[in-house]
Amino acid sequence: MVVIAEIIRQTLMCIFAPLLGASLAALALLLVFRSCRNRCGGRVASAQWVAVSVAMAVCTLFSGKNTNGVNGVGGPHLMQFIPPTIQVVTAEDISNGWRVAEETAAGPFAQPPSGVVTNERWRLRGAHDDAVRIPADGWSYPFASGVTVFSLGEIRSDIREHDFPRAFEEDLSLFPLASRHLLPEGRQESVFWYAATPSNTLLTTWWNAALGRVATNVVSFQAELFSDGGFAYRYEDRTVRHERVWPFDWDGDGLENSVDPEPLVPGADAHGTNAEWYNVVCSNLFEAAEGDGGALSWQDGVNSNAYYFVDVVASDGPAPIYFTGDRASRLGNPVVVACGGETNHVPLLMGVEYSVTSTVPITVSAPDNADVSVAGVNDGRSFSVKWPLSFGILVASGGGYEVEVMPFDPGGDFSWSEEDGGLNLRSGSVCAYSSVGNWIGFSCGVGGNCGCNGCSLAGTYSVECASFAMPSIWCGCGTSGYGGTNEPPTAPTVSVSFDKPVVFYEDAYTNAPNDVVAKHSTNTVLSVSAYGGESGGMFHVSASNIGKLVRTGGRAMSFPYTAFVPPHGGVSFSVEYEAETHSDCQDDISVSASVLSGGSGTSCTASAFITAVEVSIVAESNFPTNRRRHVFGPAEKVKVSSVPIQCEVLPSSVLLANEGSITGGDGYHEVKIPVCCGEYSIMARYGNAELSILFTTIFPNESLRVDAVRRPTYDEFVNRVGIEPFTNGCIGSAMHVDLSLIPDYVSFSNIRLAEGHACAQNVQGFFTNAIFQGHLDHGVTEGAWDGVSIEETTRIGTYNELVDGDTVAFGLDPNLRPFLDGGSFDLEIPMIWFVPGSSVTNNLHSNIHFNSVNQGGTVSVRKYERTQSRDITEDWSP
Amino acid sequence: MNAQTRVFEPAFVFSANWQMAVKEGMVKVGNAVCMIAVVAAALPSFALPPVRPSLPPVAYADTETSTNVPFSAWQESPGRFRLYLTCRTTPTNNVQMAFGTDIDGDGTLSLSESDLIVGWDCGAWFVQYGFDGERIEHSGNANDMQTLACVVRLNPGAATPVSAEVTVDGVPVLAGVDVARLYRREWNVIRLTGRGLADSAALPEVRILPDPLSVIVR
Repeated sequence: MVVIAEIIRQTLMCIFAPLLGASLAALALLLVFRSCRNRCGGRVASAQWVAVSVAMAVCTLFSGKNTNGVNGVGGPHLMQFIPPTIQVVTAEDISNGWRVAEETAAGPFAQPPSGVVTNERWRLRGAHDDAVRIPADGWSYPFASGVTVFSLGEIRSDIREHDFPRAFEEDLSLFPLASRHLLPEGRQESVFWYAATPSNTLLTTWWNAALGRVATNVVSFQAELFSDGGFAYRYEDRTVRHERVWPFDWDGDGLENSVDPEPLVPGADAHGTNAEWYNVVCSNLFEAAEGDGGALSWQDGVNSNAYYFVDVVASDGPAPIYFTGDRASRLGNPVVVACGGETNHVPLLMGVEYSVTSTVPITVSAPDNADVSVAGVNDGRSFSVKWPLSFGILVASGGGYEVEVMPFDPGGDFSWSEEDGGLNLRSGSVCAYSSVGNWIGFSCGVGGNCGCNGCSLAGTYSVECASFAMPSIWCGCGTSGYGGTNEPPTAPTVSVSFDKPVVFYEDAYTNAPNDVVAKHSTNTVLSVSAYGGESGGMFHVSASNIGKLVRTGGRAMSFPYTAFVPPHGGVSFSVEYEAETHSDCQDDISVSASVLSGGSGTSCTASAFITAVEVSIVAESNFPTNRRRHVFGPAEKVKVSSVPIQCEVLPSSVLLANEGSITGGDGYHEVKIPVCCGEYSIMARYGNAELSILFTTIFPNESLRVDAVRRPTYDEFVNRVGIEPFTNGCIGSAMHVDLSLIPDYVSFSNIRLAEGHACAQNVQGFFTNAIFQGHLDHGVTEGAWDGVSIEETTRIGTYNELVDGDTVAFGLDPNLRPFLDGGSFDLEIPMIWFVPGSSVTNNLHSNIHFNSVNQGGTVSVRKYERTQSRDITEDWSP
Repeated sequence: MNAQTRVFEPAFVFSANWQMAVKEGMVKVGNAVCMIAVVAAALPSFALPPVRPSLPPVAYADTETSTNVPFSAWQESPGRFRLYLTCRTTPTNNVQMAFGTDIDGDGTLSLSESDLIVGWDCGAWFVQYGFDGERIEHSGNANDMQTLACVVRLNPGAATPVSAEVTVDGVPVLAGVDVARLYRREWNVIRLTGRGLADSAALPEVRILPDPLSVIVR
């Protein structure tokens, strides 16, 4: 039996060994090939960029008919690289949100950079099961605005679902300073420190910690969190680097899971820079060869003229970037998973408007093509991109019309049919049409009772499975066919207009720290139209300083613009603009249009002018440094100015009702901010252009900086302190209190503070003496108390601080001794603020003053948790 | 049966009954409410045993030692909740008590289960909301035997904090403390922790007194 089995085994080996060998060889080749690649994030030491020159000659987009083709024009420059290890992503990896990327021999621990923070408490008294929160300041991690670090060797992100692996099976702990003698020789203190690094990572380090809490088992450990979601653990004997497993791209190859044929198998760098990405995402367009330098070639049947490339760069990554077209096309909707800072080249179809969105700020541009319209929407995370199509209508030699796609012909199919809307017959007309390719002919005749008034017909242009509506072609009749009152004019006409004389804008400003308000603008609509008259003509539009405006809607136009206006045909377009920068002088932005008649050679012209006006809001006070804001303290004064022309500034009724006002100045308007907190508005106006400006008035809150001062003399109080017949020389205790009002990003310099009336409370012991009756109240009773009455107000100084705040004191005559058992009383003193001349008063917090004297003659004042005491037997004479 | 197991007994009985009743499909909402009310009303008599657990001796080089003391913050009409912490304060030691709910039921209060931490830490008295939350500190005198007292006045009906006074040896401190965070009736474990305590120091112990509910550490 053994012999038979051996024969069978030998036979099977003879059959399958070659196949197995071939398979292994193929697998080895694949691994060698992929081992040359790098991964997104670029931290792999062995990463080797194999820059593959792309067989794409660089031509400008406008150098010829075939301007967008990959082989020969403006396409992407491809690179490809392979991760060092090919390891299938597991379900556990996805669940964890990370996986081990590589484990290497121990490297040096990263040294503490500047700004290192050592946990002093842990250093002084040791720690085992303790925690400290580290806010994201100077470092970033995708899943946290901060992390919590546990002294036992763990890190936890804000997002609890994202757990870091434990670095050790056993707990770490830190020796207290007093126990450092237990550390092995050569080891100094046991500390935990952390720091943000210049590369935006967070370093956390347990230095000389006890593993398993055992004093003889001392280790150091370091964890570094990277901004791309990866992290590294550095031990004394090895370094383990973990990489992020992204929920939208498990294998991190740049292909989103939904389009990745192998979402669990790391492929290549496919971040819109590599052949694999084009093979997968744009397989309807390209054949991208990985083995011959990554050259792209068009698929058969693709109209390469209809495509162009845009560059998209993510500020941080990996991050998905979605392109969504407004109609179906052969290309579909590309998705790029982009690395941070990497330029991705994405093909798009002309005429289609794409919305481009991402989870991180991105930039989108078409650097070689000024006709591509790129508009940001908000936060840099959303854009719209379009290369608009326009259609020119020419009179064909055969008597019909030839339609041309502008700005160049990308091929495609033209059609005119009843499905496109059919013939629009004007009363009395009889029309028919025929079309071949991009040519259409009309036959119009007299019918009905009113004669021939012509007809019009819309068409459709289709390219690469996307359809676009064309403008209607108007068909006139012969001269004999006209009649009635509908006869079109015979001379060409042209008109240009802006719907407003100015476009206002206000630049970005900062209300408060981290509260940046984006630039905002009114808009204007430019309308241009031309009629070709009897003979048609050349329509020409030019603009001056139009770059001071930015298009926000309507047709994307590039000036100068020239088109043919057919006989009895019209051309019109409108563009919506907002202001980009202000004009140098009034009406320095202009648009002019003309039509040169093809018959008579005469021309007609029209022009329109507009001014871009910048409105500025500047607080009058020097405090704080941020004067350009829309948040103010009560009664602040604000200058509103505009360039290059001065506009009207009008108050809202609510502003006037709350003691706000606007007065004219030399080249500006001054707005007095209302004294009541709330939201208000003013309006900048010029002609029918209006810019509403919103702002807010806020009330102060109190922030106290207590400075207990034991004054050497009491002269400044003496004349007002004391119980009659106290005179100069009475003694007591005092405290100086400085007040700061918050928030500190507006000015409260226009308000006044005062301490109000307060009755003594909880009067006990010595102070129940009859001579104090009626003399202990704050602010009203003469002699007994140095109260600050409502009339003695204090102006808030620079930076919202009282230069000389409240001083609380009381004096006692030593002759009153003995003080029996001592005594005390409280004053709950209200703090009031108001704007001089205003009927509005407001309260801040009340302050408790606790005043006491003990049997030995030590008087004390306690206010805001600070206590000032003095022995009245001391000599306080000057 | 010792005092600690008695604390948990009502909750266990309630839990067992409840699960059984649900399983049998016999419980209606009204019944459940009644059961909760009965058990809740019964809790105070069980929840305030005179437990006096001490910190165990220091066993590790990191000097950290801790103990978990079961208690019940829940009372029918608590009125007040008082904390007293007396310890020798030094620039290099730490004594703190954490209050929270033992969510995983392991009998200990982990850091992440800690809702409020109060104590002395290397030169300052502090109140911290949660294990990684805001921490309010008040610099104190070191090398002294001091007492932190926190008296929380509660709304008797809702058992929610109304006001609080925090003092150290009678002097108000920590004025900015968030009163609402100083008491939760869900709390059922106190974790007492010491670090950097001198070997010869008398280790603090926890004492819980009823009416008004008081936690005393000294």
